Amino acid sequence: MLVATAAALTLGLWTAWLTVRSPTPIDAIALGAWQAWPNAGTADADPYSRARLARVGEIPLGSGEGLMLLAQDDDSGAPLSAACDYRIAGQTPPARLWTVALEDLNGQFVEGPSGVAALGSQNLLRSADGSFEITLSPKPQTGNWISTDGAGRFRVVIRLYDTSARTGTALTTLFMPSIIRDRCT
Amino acid sequence: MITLTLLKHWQPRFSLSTIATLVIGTALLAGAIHIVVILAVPYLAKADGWSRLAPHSGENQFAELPAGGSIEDGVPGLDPLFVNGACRLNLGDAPAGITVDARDRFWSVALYDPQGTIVFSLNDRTAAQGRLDMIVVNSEQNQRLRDNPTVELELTIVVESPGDELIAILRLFAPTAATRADAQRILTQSECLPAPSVIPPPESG
Repeated sequence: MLVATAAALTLGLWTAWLTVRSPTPIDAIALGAWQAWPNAGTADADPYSRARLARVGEIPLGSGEGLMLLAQDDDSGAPLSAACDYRIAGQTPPARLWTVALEDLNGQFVEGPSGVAALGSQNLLRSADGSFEITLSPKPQTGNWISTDGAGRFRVVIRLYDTSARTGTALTTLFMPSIIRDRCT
Repeated sequence: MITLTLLKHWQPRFSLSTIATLVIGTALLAGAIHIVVILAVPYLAKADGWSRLAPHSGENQFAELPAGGSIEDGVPGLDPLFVNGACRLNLGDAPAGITVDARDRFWSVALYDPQGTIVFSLNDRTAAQGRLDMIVVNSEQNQRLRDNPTVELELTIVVESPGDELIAILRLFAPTAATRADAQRILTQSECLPAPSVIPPPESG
């Protein structure tokens, strides 16, 4: 009886902890390497989302503001790390403005040698067909470049502002850029 | 083989049905604990969004939220290319008025409640010519407002909040040092004040 109660306690607490980690797989929409939590911070949020946000302390973007998408792995499923170079390549997402930023595994943004490791869509170089490519590397690169110098393990956060991606089923058909690993040191 | 022997050995003390009851009971209890913990976390969490925002929020004005900061006292999830401000609203005594005037950049306003819900949000596209005039009321004030509509409210966005306590978050896109300084100026010039004059006083007698 005692053993059973102890086992139940352990099991209950452990499964609860698993679901409120950040980023949690619960109530998320996965798009390739990216995950989004469109219900976070809304009245439609389920108890898991509420618990996760309360634990992490993150302030979500409101539906009238935008949507955050997060990737912690590359397209092959390997965790992102400053030991490798990556290319984020794809089409411009449907948003008036969007930003790409690096953060550490605690959700604090990464600061590179020349300010924050982030890029806004307003000064992004694009090809004629609207596609773009951003290089993540510790060493300076030509074209769009975000420094991963000193980042260690990191996550990539894309925030879409004033976006149509939040309305209805638009999110499930959203075409997000791929994260391709180049060479590793 | 060993298990079988053990089971055989145990049979005099624990029948199979007792074991089954114990296993099912354990699973049910674990499930119940799981649900209770998940539902309790928002009430027990000390570092939730509200308690992280509140110490950095301005009273009757927007205060700039620290960029980055340590894990203990920072506000996670903010865009590093933005200047973010927060202002505390208390609708207990009077409605609150929020005025923002910012052109030529993206900005957005969100109303955040102690439960961690964004009650209302908009961006500069909704604001006429980059100017936002917003009145936040509770349900009782909204009722009085509907009974006595005032002319001055025609160009104002009226938002009803389910509770009296809110934090207004103003996010201004500021990717460069120059636009950051500009955004900080906009932040200090934006108004976030009690607006008692909007609502006619309750009729006496």
